[in-house]
Amino acid sequence: MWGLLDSLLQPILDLATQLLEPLLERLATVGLSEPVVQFMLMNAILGVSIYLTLNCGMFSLANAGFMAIGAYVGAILTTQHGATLGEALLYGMLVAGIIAIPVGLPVLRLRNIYLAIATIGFGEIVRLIILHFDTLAVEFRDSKIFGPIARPILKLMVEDVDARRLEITLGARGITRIPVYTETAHLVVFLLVLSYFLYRLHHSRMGRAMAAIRQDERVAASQGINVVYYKNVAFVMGAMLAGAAGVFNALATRTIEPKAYGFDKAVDILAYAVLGGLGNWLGPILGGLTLTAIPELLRELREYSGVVTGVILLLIIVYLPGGLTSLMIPSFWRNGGRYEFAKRVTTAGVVLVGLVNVLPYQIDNGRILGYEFWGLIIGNMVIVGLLLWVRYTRQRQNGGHFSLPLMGVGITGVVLFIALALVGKIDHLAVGYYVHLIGMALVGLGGWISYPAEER
Amino acid sequence: MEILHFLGLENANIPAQLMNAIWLGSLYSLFALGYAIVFSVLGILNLSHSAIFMWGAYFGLAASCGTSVYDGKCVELNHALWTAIPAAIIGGGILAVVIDRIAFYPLRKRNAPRLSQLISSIGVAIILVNLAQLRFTAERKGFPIADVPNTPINVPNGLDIEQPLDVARLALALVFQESGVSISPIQILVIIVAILLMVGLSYVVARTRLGKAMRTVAFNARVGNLLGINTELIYMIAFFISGALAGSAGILFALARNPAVDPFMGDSLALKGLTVIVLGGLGSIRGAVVGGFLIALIEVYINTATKYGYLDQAFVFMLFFFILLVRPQGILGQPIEDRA
Repeated sequence: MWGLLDSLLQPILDLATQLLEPLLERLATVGLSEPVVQFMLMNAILGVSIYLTLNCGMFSLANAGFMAIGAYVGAILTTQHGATLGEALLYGMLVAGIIAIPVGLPVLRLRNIYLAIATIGFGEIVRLIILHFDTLAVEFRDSKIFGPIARPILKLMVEDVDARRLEITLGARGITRIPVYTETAHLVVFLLVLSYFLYRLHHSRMGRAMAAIRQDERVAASQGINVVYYKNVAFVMGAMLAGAAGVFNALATRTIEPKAYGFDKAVDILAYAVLGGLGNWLGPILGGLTLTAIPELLRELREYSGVVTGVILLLIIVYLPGGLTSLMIPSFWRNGGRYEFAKRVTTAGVVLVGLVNVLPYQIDNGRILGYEFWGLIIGNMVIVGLLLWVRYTRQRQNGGHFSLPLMGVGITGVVLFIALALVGKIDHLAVGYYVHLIGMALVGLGGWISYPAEER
Repeated sequence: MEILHFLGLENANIPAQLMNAIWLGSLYSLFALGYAIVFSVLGILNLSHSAIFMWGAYFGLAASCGTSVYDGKCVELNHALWTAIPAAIIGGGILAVVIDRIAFYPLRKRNAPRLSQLISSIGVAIILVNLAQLRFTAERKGFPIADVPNTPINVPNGLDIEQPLDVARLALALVFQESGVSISPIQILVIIVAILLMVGLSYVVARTRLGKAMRTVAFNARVGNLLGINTELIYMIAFFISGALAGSAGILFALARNPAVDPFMGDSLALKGLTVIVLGGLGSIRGAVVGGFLIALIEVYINTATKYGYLDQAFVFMLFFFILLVRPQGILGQPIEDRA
């Protein structure tokens, strides 16, 4: 069966590899090397895995735990049994899914914060069990009650079950020398198949049932939807996807250790979904790609990458609750959403300009901007102050009050900066310059969007 | 003695381990109380609480060591050791209020779902931990070893009793020695400060006008508003108290485990604090105290009486998981609605 599947898949993978080659070269020039691209794609899969549960109204943070399970299954299979990527993927997803069933059945009775903290607890338990797996395995093997059950299971993991010490997960050191099987093409094809599946799910009976459960569980139940069943299905699917991402991750990095799959990873996964937006299945994919790429793109901010992740998470949840995809969805433009949208665009611009003015000063003695610093910082502070003032004094829905000054400020800023570059006042065009430009353009855009000319 | 054998405690030094559980428990309770207050008044699970705990320790360290903390180790104290404690308390409180204004106030105003507040608190936690790493590096810091009295109290060799204080110390040391308890002055300080703060807090909440207002807002913010309570002010006070408790727990932890201050010191306590308040009942203040001592007792028990000491964390989380499933309202909490 594997042979047939292989012969079917191989041409597709080859084609994908060929198509990807120029794109990868292109991306490498901006600082996104192939390993980074692989991580972006893996994180997109992880974003989808949490989206599946969130889409069903369940706030589960267990995905890092399932990812760990997938990663360790994949690593053990390839290092001890010489499994291929396909086999590792299959068994990794299967094990994660099977473990998810007994976990999900009781846990999914909880809701909201209770569910969130229970799943945090689950993730920690998984991490700790993996950390101490070798000691525990010996303990179980030698015990009278569990021995007969544990032996055959352990036999699947190591050759010599009766050794004095078992070396399976290797504790905090982690498993090393895992073969590198994951290729970018695999991930791209996996993600494409996943996207098709999600697209179909959205309009299927199951997808609608899940959306109904998210809206109101009781109403959904009263309409004859089997709430428990669908919630568990979503949970298991999410777990399997996380497991798949774990397998890919293990077979791409050579080394895995339990520390990498703790609470921090769970939070990162959540951040992908939140950044991208939960209204649409594209959101988590977009979020996973973007949030992984941002620290790589902003090389000057590499040191600050943790802070940047946090700030992005905070800004998105406070100012753009629908995530990145909400910018693309037309409903945003209805029902006075235009002003809200304009407000957010302006805020984004103000924040960008402000950040560039405050942060780079500490990064590189002001040299990030590539021009004399103090001259412009004062001018910009005045602009930022004006913008903040305009933004916070506007009380009414009607954007007319501030759209003209905003447009003015934004356009002046953009023109000023381009002119400075043309005149040659700027030595080299660093990141800060572009961020500045984009910020100013966003401010102008905000003004333009909210300009109350007729019905737009 | 049968029961001791059954529990695997026949070889354990029970008074000493109990004392261990008590001081560890008072630390846990102190930390968890902050969680519980914010949860009961605002219904927010503030996951940045552990970051405030960590910053509290840094505030304390900076207050008594001066600016030398920024660059390297603290070699000598600039100010007396005790200044660290009020600095941590006040710093933690102010930090918590600032976090509230930045991360929770806009969401509150928009009536955003509770989960958004959970997510924004996670964002704050990430920012705070990374800022600490940037400012102080990931290196573990602490007070100068010689300045922190955290060796166990014991009977001095040379008995020169001149002052009444010496008599008291000697008596105390003798009592400890006879009962087999080994406890350091810092651990006693932890217990005393924790008890003072807990008693003070329960007095404020139960007896004063402010406490009444807080309970009203916790019951229903709109009712509080109608009664003329400035709910925003109450929220601010709740956050200040919560941050102050986290900061005090942070500095006490730093003193007791000296040197122990690094940007990740809050990580292990973050989830343990959650376990404590889940065990005691989310939002229940008395529950947080009881839960803290209970968790400490369980941990100490697993560490001393069983051979699974390395699994103590796993046991705590299993318990946490189990309690959530069987009795989500905790041992002292009210029944809740958040179940299907």
